[in-house]
Amino acid sequence: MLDLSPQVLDMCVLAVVNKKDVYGYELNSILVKTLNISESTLYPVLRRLQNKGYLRTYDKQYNGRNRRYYCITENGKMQIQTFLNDWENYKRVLDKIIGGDSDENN
Amino acid sequence: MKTTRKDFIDGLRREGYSIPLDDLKDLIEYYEELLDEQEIGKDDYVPDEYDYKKIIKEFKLSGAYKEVKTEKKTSVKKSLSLIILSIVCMPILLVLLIFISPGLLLIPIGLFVFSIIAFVFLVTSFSLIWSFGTSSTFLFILGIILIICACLYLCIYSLVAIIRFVSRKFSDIALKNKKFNFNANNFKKYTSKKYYEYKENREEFKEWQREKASKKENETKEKNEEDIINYDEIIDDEKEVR
Repeated sequence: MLDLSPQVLDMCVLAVVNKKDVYGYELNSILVKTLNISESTLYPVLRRLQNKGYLRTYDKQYNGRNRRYYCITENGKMQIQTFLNDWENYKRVLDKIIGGDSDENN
Repeated sequence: MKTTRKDFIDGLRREGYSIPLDDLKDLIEYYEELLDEQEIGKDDYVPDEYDYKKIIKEFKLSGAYKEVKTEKKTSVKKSLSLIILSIVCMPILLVLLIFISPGLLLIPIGLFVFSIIAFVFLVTSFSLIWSFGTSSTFLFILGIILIICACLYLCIYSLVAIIRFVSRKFSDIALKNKKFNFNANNFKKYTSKKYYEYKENREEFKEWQREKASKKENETKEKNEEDIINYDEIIDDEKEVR
Protein backbone atom coordinates (compact mmCIF):
# COMPACT_ATOMS: atom_id res chain seq x y z
CA MET A 1 0.00 0.00 0.00
CA LEU A 2 1.15 3.54 -0.76
CA ASP A 3 2.50 5.69 2.06
CA LEU A 4 0.07 8.33 3.21
CA SER A 5 1.06 11.93 3.70
CA PRO A 6 0.30 13.58 7.11
CA GLN A 7 -2.42 15.70 5.47
CA VAL A 8 -4.18 12.66 4.03
CA LEU A 9 -4.01 10.99 7.44
CA ASP A 10 -5.50 14.11 9.04
CA MET A 11 -8.28 14.04 6.47
CA CYS A 12 -9.01 10.34 7.10
CA VAL A 13 -9.20 10.83 10.88
CA LEU A 14 -11.43 13.90 10.53
CA ALA A 15 -13.65 12.04 8.06
CA VAL A 16 -14.19 9.18 10.53
CA VAL A 17 -14.81 11.47 13.51
CA ASN A 18 -17.11 13.67 11.40
CA LYS A 19 -19.56 10.76 11.11
CA LYS A 20 -19.77 10.08 14.87
CA ASP A 21 -17.84 10.48 18.10
CA VAL A 22 -15.33 7.64 18.43
CA TYR A 23 -13.06 6.38 21.23
CA GLY A 24 -9.39 5.60 20.77
CA TYR A 25 -9.53 1.87 20.24
CA GLU A 26 -12.47 2.15 17.83
CA LEU A 27 -10.64 4.69 15.72
CA ASN A 28 -7.49 2.61 15.93
CA SER A 29 -9.33 -0.50 14.74
CA ILE A 30 -10.84 1.33 11.77
CA LEU A 31 -7.77 3.16 10.55
CA VAL A 32 -4.79 0.97 11.46
CA LYS A 33 -6.24 -2.04 9.72
CA THR A 34 -7.78 -0.33 6.69
CA LEU A 35 -4.94 2.08 5.96
CA ASN A 36 -2.23 -0.35 7.04
CA ILE A 37 -0.52 2.19 9.27
CA SER A 38 1.51 1.33 12.37
CA GLU A 39 0.22 1.60 15.94
CA SER A 40 2.57 4.48 16.62
CA THR A 41 1.24 6.65 13.76
CA LEU A 42 -2.29 7.37 14.90
CA TYR A 43 -1.69 9.01 18.29
CA PRO A 44 0.51 11.85 16.92
CA VAL A 45 -2.18 12.56 14.29
CA LEU A 46 -4.85 12.80 16.99
CA ARG A 47 -2.69 15.13 19.10
CA ARG A 48 -1.90 17.30 16.11
CA LEU A 49 -5.59 17.68 15.26
CA GLN A 50 -6.38 18.48 18.88
CA ASN A 51 -3.64 21.10 19.01
CA LYS A 52 -4.98 22.70 15.85
CA GLY A 53 -8.43 22.82 17.40
CA TYR A 54 -10.10 20.43 14.93
CA LEU A 55 -10.82 17.75 17.52
CA ARG A 56 -11.76 17.76 21.18
CA THR A 57 -12.09 14.97 23.70
CA TYR A 58 -14.38 13.94 26.52
CA ASP A 59 -14.23 11.00 28.91
CA LYS A 60 -16.98 8.46 29.44
CA GLN A 61 -17.11 5.45 31.76
CA TYR A 62 -17.68 2.05 30.21
CA ASN A 63 -17.68 -1.22 32.21
CA GLY A 64 -15.73 0.43 35.01
CA ARG A 65 -13.01 1.82 32.80
CA ASN A 66 -12.49 5.12 31.07
CA ARG A 67 -13.02 5.71 27.37
CA ARG A 68 -11.76 8.91 25.79
CA TYR A 69 -14.05 9.96 22.96
CA TYR A 70 -12.93 12.16 20.10
CA CYS A 71 -15.40 14.56 18.51
CA ILE A 72 -15.07 17.11 15.73
CA THR A 73 -15.20 20.86 16.39
CA GLU A 74 -16.65 23.62 14.15
CA ASN A 75 -13.13 24.38 12.92
CA GLY A 76 -12.68 20.69 12.21
CA LYS A 77 -15.88 20.63 10.15
CA MET A 78 -14.65 23.55 8.06
CA GLN A 79 -11.28 21.88 7.68
CA ILE A 80 -12.74 18.57 6.51
CA GLN A 81 -14.66 20.46 3.80
CA THR A 82 -11.44 22.09 2.65
CA PHE A 83 -9.68 18.72 2.71
CA LEU A 84 -12.46 17.05 0.71
CA ASN A 85 -12.43 19.80 -1.95
CA ASP A 86 -8.65 19.55 -2.20
CA TRP A 87 -8.90 15.77 -2.35
CA GLU A 88 -11.38 15.93 -5.23
CA ASN A 89 -9.07 18.20 -7.24
CA TYR A 90 -6.05 16.07 -6.37
CA LYS A 91 -7.84 12.90 -7.36
CA ARG A 92 -8.96 14.40 -10.68
CA VAL A 93 -5.40 15.50 -11.51
CA LEU A 94 -3.98 12.11 -10.52
CA ASP A 95 -6.62 10.28 -12.55
CA LYS A 96 -5.75 12.36 -15.56
CA ILE A 97 -2.03 11.66 -15.18
CA ILE A 98 -2.39 7.99 -14.44
CA GLY A 99 -5.13 7.41 -17.03
CA GLY A 100 -3.30 9.48 -19.65
CA ASP A 101 -6.34 11.71 -19.87
CA SER A 102 -4.35 14.95 -19.89
CA ASP A 103 -5.21 18.28 -21.55
CA GLU A 104 -2.57 17.65 -24.21
CA ASN A 105 -4.38 14.50 -25.40
CA ASN A 106 -7.64 16.40 -25.54
CA MET B 1 11.36 -10.22 22.14
CA LYS B 2 8.04 -10.18 23.94
CA THR B 3 7.19 -7.24 26.21
CA THR B 4 4.72 -7.26 29.07
CA ARG B 5 2.27 -4.43 29.52
CA LYS B 6 4.16 -3.23 32.60
CA ASP B 7 7.48 -3.17 30.71
CA PHE B 8 5.79 -1.41 27.78
CA ILE B 9 4.43 1.39 29.98
CA ASP B 10 7.75 1.67 31.86
CA GLY B 11 9.50 1.87 28.48
CA LEU B 12 7.23 4.71 27.38
CA ARG B 13 8.01 6.61 30.58
CA ARG B 14 11.75 5.96 30.24
CA GLU B 15 12.04 6.86 26.56
CA GLY B 16 9.73 9.86 26.86
CA TYR B 17 11.67 11.60 29.63
CA SER B 18 12.26 14.64 27.40
CA ILE B 19 8.56 15.03 26.55
CA PRO B 20 6.60 17.49 28.71
CA LEU B 21 4.91 15.65 31.54
CA ASP B 22 1.33 16.42 30.47
CA ASP B 23 1.97 15.19 26.92
CA LEU B 24 3.61 12.01 28.16
CA LYS B 25 0.76 11.40 30.60
CA ASP B 26 -1.78 11.75 27.76
CA LEU B 27 0.22 9.40 25.55
CA ILE B 28 0.44 6.73 28.28
CA GLU B 29 -3.28 7.07 29.03
CA TYR B 30 -4.06 6.56 25.33
CA TYR B 31 -2.06 3.32 25.15
CA GLU B 32 -3.36 2.14 28.54
CA GLU B 33 -6.88 2.58 27.15
CA LEU B 34 -6.04 0.62 23.97
CA LEU B 35 -4.58 -2.22 26.08
CA ASP B 36 -7.58 -2.15 28.42
CA GLU B 37 -9.91 -2.49 25.43
CA GLN B 38 -7.94 -5.54 24.31
CA GLU B 39 -8.15 -6.88 27.90
CA ILE B 40 -4.39 -7.14 28.24
CA GLY B 41 -3.42 -7.47 31.92
CA LYS B 42 -0.43 -6.01 33.72
CA ASP B 43 1.75 -9.09 33.24
CA ASP B 44 0.36 -10.09 29.83
CA TYR B 45 2.38 -9.60 26.69
CA VAL B 46 1.51 -6.70 24.41
CA PRO B 47 1.19 -7.29 20.63
CA ASP B 48 4.46 -6.98 18.67
CA GLU B 49 3.27 -3.77 16.94
CA TYR B 50 3.43 -1.96 20.30
CA ASP B 51 7.02 -0.80 20.20
CA TYR B 52 7.55 1.89 22.83
CA LYS B 53 10.78 3.20 21.25
CA LYS B 54 9.08 3.66 17.87
CA ILE B 55 6.02 5.26 19.50
CA ILE B 56 8.13 7.87 21.32
CA LYS B 57 10.33 8.48 18.28
CA GLU B 58 7.33 9.07 16.00
CA PHE B 59 5.66 11.28 18.57
CA LYS B 60 8.77 13.42 18.84
CA LEU B 61 9.15 13.67 15.08
CA SER B 62 5.51 14.54 14.46
CA GLY B 63 4.00 18.02 14.58
CA ALA B 64 2.06 16.90 17.67
CA TYR B 65 4.94 18.07 19.80
CA LYS B 66 3.29 21.46 20.09
CA GLU B 67 4.06 22.04 23.77
CA VAL B 68 7.80 21.91 23.20
CA LYS B 69 7.62 24.26 20.19
CA THR B 70 5.66 26.78 22.24
CA GLU B 71 8.18 26.42 25.06
CA LYS B 72 11.08 27.10 22.71
CA LYS B 73 9.38 30.17 21.26
CA THR B 74 8.77 31.43 24.77
CA SER B 75 12.41 30.86 25.71
CA VAL B 76 13.63 32.91 22.74
CA LYS B 77 11.05 35.60 23.54
CA LYS B 78 12.05 35.68 27.21
CA SER B 79 15.75 35.73 26.42
CA LEU B 80 15.37 38.47 23.82
CA SER B 81 13.40 40.59 26.25
CA LEU B 82 16.13 40.11 28.87
CA ILE B 83 18.84 41.04 26.37
CA ILE B 84 16.94 44.15 25.28
CA LEU B 85 16.38 45.03 28.95
CA SER B 86 20.09 44.78 29.70
CA ILE B 87 21.01 46.93 26.67
CA VAL B 88 18.37 49.52 27.57
CA CYS B 89 19.57 49.54 31.18
CA MET B 90 23.17 50.33 30.29
CA PRO B 91 22.79 54.05 29.38
CA ILE B 92 20.44 54.58 32.33
CA LEU B 93 23.05 53.03 34.56
CA LEU B 94 25.73 55.26 33.09
CA VAL B 95 23.69 58.39 33.83
CA LEU B 96 22.96 57.14 37.34
CA LEU B 97 26.62 56.45 37.96
CA ILE B 98 27.65 59.93 36.81
CA PHE B 99 25.08 61.63 39.03
CA ILE B 100 25.55 59.46 42.09
CA SER B 101 29.27 58.91 42.08
CA PRO B 102 31.32 61.53 43.96
CA GLY B 103 34.59 59.94 42.87
CA LEU B 104 35.24 59.95 39.13
CA LEU B 105 37.51 56.93 39.44
CA LEU B 106 34.63 54.72 40.46
CA ILE B 107 32.68 55.35 37.22
CA PRO B 108 35.01 53.43 34.90
CA ILE B 109 35.41 50.67 37.51
CA GLY B 110 31.65 50.35 37.86
CA LEU B 111 31.10 50.39 34.12
CA PHE B 112 33.80 47.79 33.63
CA VAL B 113 32.19 45.41 36.13
CA PHE B 114 28.72 45.96 34.69
CA SER B 115 30.00 45.49 31.13
CA ILE B 116 31.52 42.15 32.11
CA ILE B 117 28.20 41.04 33.60
CA ALA B 118 26.27 42.22 30.54
CA PHE B 119 28.78 40.62 28.15
CA VAL B 120 28.66 37.27 29.96
CA PHE B 121 24.87 37.42 29.91
CA LEU B 122 24.67 38.26 26.20
CA VAL B 123 27.18 35.63 25.09
CA THR B 124 25.67 32.92 27.27
CA SER B 125 22.12 33.67 26.16
CA PHE B 126 22.96 33.74 22.46
CA SER B 127 25.03 30.58 22.56
CA LEU B 128 22.42 28.72 24.59
CA ILE B 129 19.55 29.73 22.32
CA TRP B 130 21.14 29.17 18.94
CA SER B 131 23.76 26.51 19.60
CA PHE B 132 22.46 24.23 22.30
CA GLY B 133 18.70 24.93 22.35
CA THR B 134 18.58 24.95 26.15
CA SER B 135 15.19 25.04 27.81
CA SER B 136 13.58 28.35 28.73
CA THR B 137 13.58 27.59 32.46
CA PHE B 138 17.38 27.46 32.60
CA LEU B 139 17.73 30.63 30.52
CA PHE B 140 15.16 32.42 32.60
CA ILE B 141 16.94 31.49 35.86
CA LEU B 142 20.29 32.50 34.35
CA GLY B 143 18.89 35.86 33.26
CA ILE B 144 17.34 36.47 36.66
CA ILE B 145 20.61 35.61 38.46
CA LEU B 146 22.58 37.99 36.23
CA ILE B 147 20.06 40.79 36.65
CA ILE B 148 20.08 40.25 40.43
CA CYS B 149 23.91 40.41 40.36
CA ALA B 150 23.79 43.67 38.38
CA CYS B 151 21.13 45.13 40.71
CA LEU B 152 23.10 44.09 43.81
CA TYR B 153 26.21 45.68 42.37
CA LEU B 154 24.27 48.86 41.59
CA CYS B 155 22.73 48.93 45.09
CA ILE B 156 26.04 48.40 46.89
CA TYR B 157 27.79 50.91 44.66
CA SER B 158 25.02 53.50 45.12
CA LEU B 159 25.01 52.96 48.89
CA VAL B 160 28.75 53.50 49.14
CA ALA B 161 28.52 56.54 46.86
CA ILE B 162 25.66 58.04 48.90
CA ILE B 163 27.53 57.47 52.18
CA ARG B 164 30.64 59.09 50.75
CA PHE B 165 28.60 62.02 49.43
CA VAL B 166 26.79 62.57 52.75
CA SER B 167 29.96 62.27 54.80
CA ARG B 168 31.75 64.76 52.54
CA LYS B 169 28.88 67.23 52.84
CA PHE B 170 28.81 66.73 56.59
CA SER B 171 32.51 67.35 57.00
CA ASP B 172 32.38 70.40 54.70
CA ILE B 173 29.57 71.98 56.73
CA ALA B 174 31.37 71.19 59.95
CA LEU B 175 34.61 72.71 58.74
CA LYS B 176 32.82 75.76 57.40
CA ASN B 177 31.06 76.47 60.68
CA LYS B 178 34.18 75.52 62.57
CA LYS B 179 32.25 73.23 64.87
CA PHE B 180 34.45 70.37 65.91
CA ASN B 181 32.27 68.84 68.56
CA PHE B 182 30.87 65.94 66.48
CA ASN B 183 31.93 62.39 67.15
CA ALA B 184 35.27 61.92 65.46
CA ASN B 185 35.20 58.12 65.85
CA ASN B 186 31.97 57.76 63.88
CA PHE B 187 33.22 60.15 61.28
CA LYS B 188 36.42 58.13 60.90
CA LYS B 189 34.31 55.03 60.13
CA TYR B 190 32.80 56.65 57.05
CA THR B 191 35.80 58.39 55.57
CA SER B 192 39.30 58.12 56.90
CA LYS B 193 40.66 60.65 54.39
CA LYS B 194 38.23 63.29 55.60
CA TYR B 195 39.05 62.41 59.18
CA TYR B 196 42.71 63.26 58.69
CA GLU B 197 41.78 66.46 56.86
CA TYR B 198 39.57 67.33 59.78
CA LYS B 199 42.35 66.57 62.29
CA GLU B 200 44.82 68.79 60.44
CA ASN B 201 42.28 71.60 60.24
CA ARG B 202 41.50 71.27 63.92
CA GLU B 203 45.15 71.80 64.84
CA GLU B 204 45.30 74.83 62.58
CA PHE B 205 42.10 76.17 64.07
CA LYS B 206 43.36 75.73 67.64
CA GLU B 207 46.53 77.59 66.77
CA TRP B 208 44.47 80.33 65.15
CA GLN B 209 42.28 80.47 68.27
CA ARG B 210 45.34 80.69 70.50
CA GLU B 211 46.77 83.48 68.34
CA LYS B 212 43.47 85.32 68.39
CA ALA B 213 43.14 84.98 72.14
CA SER B 214 46.67 86.20 72.79
CA LYS B 215 46.14 89.09 70.35
CA LYS B 216 42.96 90.06 72.14
CA GLU B 217 44.72 89.77 75.50
CA ASN B 218 47.51 92.03 74.28
CA GLU B 219 45.04 94.55 72.92
CA THR B 220 43.17 94.62 76.23
CA LYS B 221 46.41 94.95 78.12
CA GLU B 222 47.52 97.83 75.88
CA LYS B 223 44.16 99.51 76.23
CA ASN B 224 44.24 99.15 79.99
CA GLU B 225 47.73 100.57 80.08
CA GLU B 226 46.59 103.44 77.90
CA ASP B 227 43.62 104.05 80.17
CA ILE B 228 45.86 104.06 83.19
CA ILE B 229 48.19 106.54 81.48
CA ASN B 230 45.24 108.71 80.53
CA TYR B 231 43.90 108.57 84.07
CA ASP B 232 47.28 109.55 85.49
CA GLU B 233 47.48 112.47 83.06
CA ILE B 234 44.00 113.67 84.11
CA ILE B 235 44.97 113.50 87.80
CA ASP B 236 48.15 115.41 87.12
CA ASP B 237 46.22 118.11 85.21
CA GLU B 238 43.71 118.49 88.07
CA LYS B 239 46.54 118.85 90.55
CA GLU B 240 48.11 121.59 88.43
CA VAL B 241 44.81 123.49 88.21
CA ARG B 242 44.41 123.39 91.96
